[in-house]
Formats: sequence, C-alpha cells, structure tokens
Amino acid sequence: MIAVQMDSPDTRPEAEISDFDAVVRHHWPRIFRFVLASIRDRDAAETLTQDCFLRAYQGRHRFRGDASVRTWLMQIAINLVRDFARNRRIRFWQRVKEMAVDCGSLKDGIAGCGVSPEAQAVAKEQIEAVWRATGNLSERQRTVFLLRFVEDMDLIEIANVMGVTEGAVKVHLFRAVHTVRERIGGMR
Amino acid sequence: MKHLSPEQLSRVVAGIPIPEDDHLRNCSDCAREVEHAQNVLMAFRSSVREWSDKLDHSEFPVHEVVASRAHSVRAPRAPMAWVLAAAALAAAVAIPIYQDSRDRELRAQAERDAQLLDDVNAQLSRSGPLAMDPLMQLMAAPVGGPPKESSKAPGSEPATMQDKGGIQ
Repeated sequence: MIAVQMDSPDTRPEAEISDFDAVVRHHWPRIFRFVLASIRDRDAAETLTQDCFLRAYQGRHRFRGDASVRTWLMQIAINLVRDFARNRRIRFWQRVKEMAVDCGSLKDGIAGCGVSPEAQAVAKEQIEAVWRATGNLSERQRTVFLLRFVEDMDLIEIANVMGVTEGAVKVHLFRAVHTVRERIGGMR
Repeated sequence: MKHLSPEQLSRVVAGIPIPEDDHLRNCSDCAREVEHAQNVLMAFRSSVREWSDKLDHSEFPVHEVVASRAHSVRAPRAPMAWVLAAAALAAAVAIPIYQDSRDRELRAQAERDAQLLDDVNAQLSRSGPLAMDPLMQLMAAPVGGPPKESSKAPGSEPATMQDKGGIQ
C-alpha cells in the first residue's frame, strides 16, 4: 500500500486509489450525502453508495488519474442515481416519502443559530421551499444544483463530473436557481 | 434607478457573471436580494449536511462492508443465492404442512360421505315421511286410548300407512 495524504485528494490520484480502504473512508460521507440528497431515501442511498465504491474498486485498474478520485467517484454516483431515478416504481415511493424525510430533517439545521423562534420558523419554511423546489427540478438541474450548493463544487468540476460543457452547467444552474428563487420569494 | 431583473439576480446567485455587476455594488436593494437567496441556500446546505451526517451510520464500518463485497468474487450473486435458499426452505416447511392438512381434509370428506350415505339409506328404508310418524302411531293405537309405547313388542316394526288403509 502506498501511503497518501487524504487531505489533498486532488493530488496524485493514482496513488490515492491504491489504498482503496482509505478511499472509501475518506469519500464515503460526501458520496452518501450527494446520493441521499438526490434520491431522499436512506436505505437506497446506502446501497447505491456501496455500489458506487464497489464499481470503483472493480474498475480501479482503468483509473488513469486524469481526474481526481472525487470526480471519478462522483461520476459513478451520478450514473447510479440516474439509473435509480429512471425506475418509475421507485420514483413513486420516493415522492411518497419525500415530505416525511424533509420535515424531520430541517429543524436540526436551523436550531441553535441564536435567532428568534420567528426567524427560525421563517428560515425553516424557506429551506422546506428549497427542498420542494429541488424535488421538482429536472434530473440534470437537480444534480447541478446539489453539486454546486451542497458539495461546493465549481462549475468546471461539475462539468467534468457530468460530462457536459461548462456552458451547459451554467444553463442548468441558472434554471435551477431561478426556480428555487421563485419558490422562496424575494425581499422586495 | 433600474434594478436587476429576477433573471439577472438568479444568475448572480448562481455565480454566473453578468455585465451589470457594478449595479450590485451601488444598489443595496439588489444586493440584499442576492444576500437573502445566498443565506437561504447556505441554510439549505447546512440542513442537508446535518441530515446526511445524522443518517450516515458512522459507527458502521461501511468501508469493511464495501471491501468485503469487493473482494468476494461471487458477491453480486449473493442476493440470488439467498432468494433461492429462502425459497427452498419455505418449500421444505410448506409441503409437509400442506400434505398433512390435505390428509385431514380427505378423511373428513370420507366421514361426511359415509354419513350422507347412511342418511340416504335410512330415508330409503322408511315407509313414510318422518313428519307422518305421529299420525301413523295414532292410527296404529287401539280405539279409546293413546298408543302405548311399552305395549309394543320389542323389535316390532311400526305399521305402515298402506297396511292401515289410511292415507294413500
């Protein structure tokens, strides 16, 4: 095994991939989070995340290090989520579960910010609106939106992950943000 | 002053540069709009991350699971093997139960058939309908008194309606 610095995942990706156990430990939370936010089903997210790393392991010899390990793993995760979302039956259950998942998750994200209960209620409402809006976005718009605003990826990295041009990412992102802004409302 | 349009504001929030960037520095209204949306999106990110952290079983050694699945050549077939094993077990348990209940059902059916046959034989051997029995006993009794069961000889057959020349 080659020891690698896990704090800098973008350097020496071919070395990083050699210690696959460390790769899983380091990248699991991010991949799980993206999959979970995309499909909103914990059990399915866990399974898909496992599948993601399994595929990565099986294909690790084909990994040339052209992109970072994070980009490579996210590409696999996006494909898995896309396949998952195309299953109509699963989509039905996803919608059924959607509200229950959202309401249970939002409160913790706001509490403890030192703001008034009224402000917390407003913030909770707005976050719920974002959740609902992302649920209605197209698959690509939602993926771009989550990668940008949850995973903090820049436009070029999103383009690499999704296999599209930077211009296409901008278009999807603009539409997604505009839809979300319409849902949350403005100040004026 | 002309404010930025909703589309222009969305572009700014999305991080896409617009030619009217200077306007944001001079217009507090538009700047507040952008800041408001950015704050909501940051709160959204925090809520997603907390939610994910809460649902992610950190104590669960996921990397070991993935590693064990990855190292196992037959791992992808494991679910099918489990399904087949479960089906075989269910069949092994269900078949004897089914056979036992089937035997019991057959025995009960045979008993019911025998009972029905007895009933049919009893009906065929009768000289008259069951409802006519009291009338036939009255007709068989001596004049002036009710029929006496005790006076009948043991094993004697009751008189038929035809013998008495009563109801034809």
